[in-house]
Amino acid sequence: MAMGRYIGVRLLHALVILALVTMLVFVIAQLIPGDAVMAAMASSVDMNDSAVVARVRHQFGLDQSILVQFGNWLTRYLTGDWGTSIGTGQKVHAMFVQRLPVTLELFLGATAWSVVIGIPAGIVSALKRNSAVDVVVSTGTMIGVSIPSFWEAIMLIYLLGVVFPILPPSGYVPFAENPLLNLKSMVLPTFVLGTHSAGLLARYVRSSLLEVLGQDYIRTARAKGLSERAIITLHALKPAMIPVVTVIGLAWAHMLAGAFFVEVIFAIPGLGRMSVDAIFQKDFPVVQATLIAVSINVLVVNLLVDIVYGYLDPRVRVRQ
Amino acid sequence: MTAAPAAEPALLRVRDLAVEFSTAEGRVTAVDGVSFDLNEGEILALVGESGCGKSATALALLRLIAEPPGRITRGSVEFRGHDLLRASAQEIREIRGNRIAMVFQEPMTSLNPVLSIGRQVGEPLRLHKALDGADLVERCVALLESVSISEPRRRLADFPHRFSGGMRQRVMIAMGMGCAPDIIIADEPTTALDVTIQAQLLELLREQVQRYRTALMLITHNLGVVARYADRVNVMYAGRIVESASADDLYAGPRHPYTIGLLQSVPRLDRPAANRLQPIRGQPPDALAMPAGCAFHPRCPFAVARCAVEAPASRRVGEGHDVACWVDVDG
Amino acid sequence: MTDIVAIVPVRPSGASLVLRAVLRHRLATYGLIVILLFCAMAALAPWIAPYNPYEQDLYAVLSAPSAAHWFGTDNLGRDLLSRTIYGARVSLLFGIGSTALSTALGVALGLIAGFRGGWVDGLIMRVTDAFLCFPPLIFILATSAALGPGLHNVVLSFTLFGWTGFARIIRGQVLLVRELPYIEAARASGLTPHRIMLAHVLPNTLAPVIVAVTITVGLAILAESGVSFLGLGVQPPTASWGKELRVGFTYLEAVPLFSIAPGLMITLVVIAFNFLGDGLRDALDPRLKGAGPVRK
Repeated sequence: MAMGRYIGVRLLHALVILALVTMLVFVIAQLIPGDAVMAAMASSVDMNDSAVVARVRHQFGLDQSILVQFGNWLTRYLTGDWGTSIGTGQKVHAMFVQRLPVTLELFLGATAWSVVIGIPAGIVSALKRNSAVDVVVSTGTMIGVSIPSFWEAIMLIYLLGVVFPILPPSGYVPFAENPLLNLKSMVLPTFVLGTHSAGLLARYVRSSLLEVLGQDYIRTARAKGLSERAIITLHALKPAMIPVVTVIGLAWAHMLAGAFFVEVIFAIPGLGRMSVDAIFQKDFPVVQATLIAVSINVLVVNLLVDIVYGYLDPRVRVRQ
Repeated sequence: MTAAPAAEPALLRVRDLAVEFSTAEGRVTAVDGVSFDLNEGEILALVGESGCGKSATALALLRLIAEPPGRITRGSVEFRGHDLLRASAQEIREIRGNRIAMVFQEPMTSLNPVLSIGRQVGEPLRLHKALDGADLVERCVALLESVSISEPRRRLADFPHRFSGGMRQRVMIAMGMGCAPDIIIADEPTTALDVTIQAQLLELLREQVQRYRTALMLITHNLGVVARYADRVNVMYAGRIVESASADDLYAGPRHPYTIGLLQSVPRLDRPAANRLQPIRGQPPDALAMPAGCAFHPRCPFAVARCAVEAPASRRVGEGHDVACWVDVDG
Repeated sequence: MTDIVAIVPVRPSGASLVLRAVLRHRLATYGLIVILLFCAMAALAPWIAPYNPYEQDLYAVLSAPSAAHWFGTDNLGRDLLSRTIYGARVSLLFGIGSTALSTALGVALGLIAGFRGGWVDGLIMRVTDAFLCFPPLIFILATSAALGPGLHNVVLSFTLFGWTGFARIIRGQVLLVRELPYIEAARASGLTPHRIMLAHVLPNTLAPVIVAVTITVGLAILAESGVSFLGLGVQPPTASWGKELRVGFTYLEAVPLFSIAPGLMITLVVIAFNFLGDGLRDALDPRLKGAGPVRK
């Protein structure tokens, strides 16, 4: 079954890359100037006493060979022990569990916005190419792609939170506690996060659809007597959407960067904010875990995109 | 050009058809006043070099010229007495794929890669004949069988990339014949394929049209193909038809200098081996800078003063044989 | 060298053709004008700005726009208009500088990967794959934080990440162009691979790179402002648009204009670069496939 083999190969690729990434992350942690643990210990331990330093290093396994350290670290990670945060003292995986749903809600909302705005906008601007509508949409997408997300957030907070106080300017309410307030407080953050992706999507959809419409097989469809609308819905949309799937996946994978800013500005207790704080505080266990989680996120999304691709474009299943 | 000597009126009457294209460098007249008839069950060949306007003519018949760069500027295309160029969008859609079908040049790109063959072959049937369900499947299987595709039932679910170029072209022919059209327009159906496949496909095409008495308009630059399969031939040069005759008459006695030149430049098995090939001297005209008068005159060994001034009208030189030339030339 | 040129088919000089095509593209022209204006603003800052951007007037802290201070003043009494004008220097310098470095590094590695093939190619490609697992900004942020504050660290971080995109583009183009007949002709005439690479392959692979460069400058400017917004990057008292936005956000209700001006500048410059990139892409379109040779 071509599809099964296709998925299998993709999965293997992903695992290999994941292995490489974990090594990369581990190596980066080793290379950072300044020993994190030592820095953390500096306050409570006399750094000049070499015996004490040696003991602490031994305690944290820093005196063993790199490979052994890597091995230990890998085992720890695979069993769910992601270390303890230097900043908060919490268990890292506990912090993740706490904040993941929040960020996930943010991501899903943003993706929803981008798809709902981006795809129709792209289709319309392709079909009404060079008309006034196209110009408006193109300008909008250009702004969406160029605007810094933190500025957009600030502007929207000012307009819709201060000048016309419709939406709460910041603060997060868990869904379980108060669904309506939760959704209200997430409107602006998800919109801001989704803007860039929406612009990107619209541009890709437009160029993809225009390219498809110029293909020979569209002319064949027209020669068969199909109406323009039937040509678009039955023949043009499916091939045009194929590269779009990749873009949606790409946008999701890169959303964490935007989430940083959004969570900081809107005071949302998600993974983004946690990562920003950890980076500034040099809280390495958290940073490490974040980098790995981010990579896993990207790899999983890429895998899903490949699978959907295989379903949409039958030619891909044969090519390896 | 007048109708062939038959009692019934022509199936398709094209009069003074003209097509223009706007390019970055200026306006190009691709088709400059073309007129011809197509009769029922007839195989008509439209011959000429690349760029002479034969494909544009074919596309214009079904109004498939892409409107932004292209435009049909004048003329009429009467199909069973009804002018297609002035028909409504709805009417022309009902004719496309149904009464007049088209087979294109590029089998590799003319089929939608993400839709199954069955879907695409069945589309005209579903659209024009309201076939559905099991009936539709059976008809599609029969169509694939008729173009000699093995295991047709299984192949219906396959996608185009699993078919070779020759097989895709067979599928295109099947797709075209599906609704038993009155006319099939085949635009260089075999140019992109190997020579051995070419012969098979043309035989297939001929067999199909003879079986259903479909008229075939065959567009090609290959004189050998024309000799073997065509009933009548129209020779095109620089957007105009310069000679029109039955295939026999054309090969036996060409009257236009261009046709004569063409036939002399093609190797023939029935000629003495001692004869050398005579290429036509000069280059085809630049579409943006057409010569005044007759477009062929710069290359014509028989040209006279008038040829550089006035474009020749066509005149009758024999039964069903018309030539657009000022000079009386004997091939 | 002249012998080789005789074998290779000739085409009119690319640069002027491209420039003309770009200028025909209206949006791209606007982009170019805006970019030039910003460059002028950055270069002429000392003469245009009404005040010294570091000069503090503690009697006029957080004042609203007035005749004396068109954009008002920040929390240390510094004129915001002047700081906005000087901010252009940081953004443009960073944008162009880090893009230049990324391009140089990326093109070099991409050429090597495409030309050598084999395990060198494989290694470089796997490395870019691994890098591309991270959203760029996170990587840049993490690296900047690790290296410490300061604009030079942000430049370094951006370059460390930015080269990957260029490497992939160039490598892809090299693979395409390398099989073309005229390269075989050059090889058959006895040119060394080194020479072929520099004189024949490189000019024809540059089209998508040029487009990518303009887009990257825009991304770099966004990256720098983002990093500065969060507190890394340029250090006080240097003025940067990102920094100003941070201040603006803190005092949003008091002086909303703070938040508008710097952000608007960033957006306009990035849009300009994107327009230019679009125009270049259209102008270079047929060449994007590496179709034809360029006259040497």
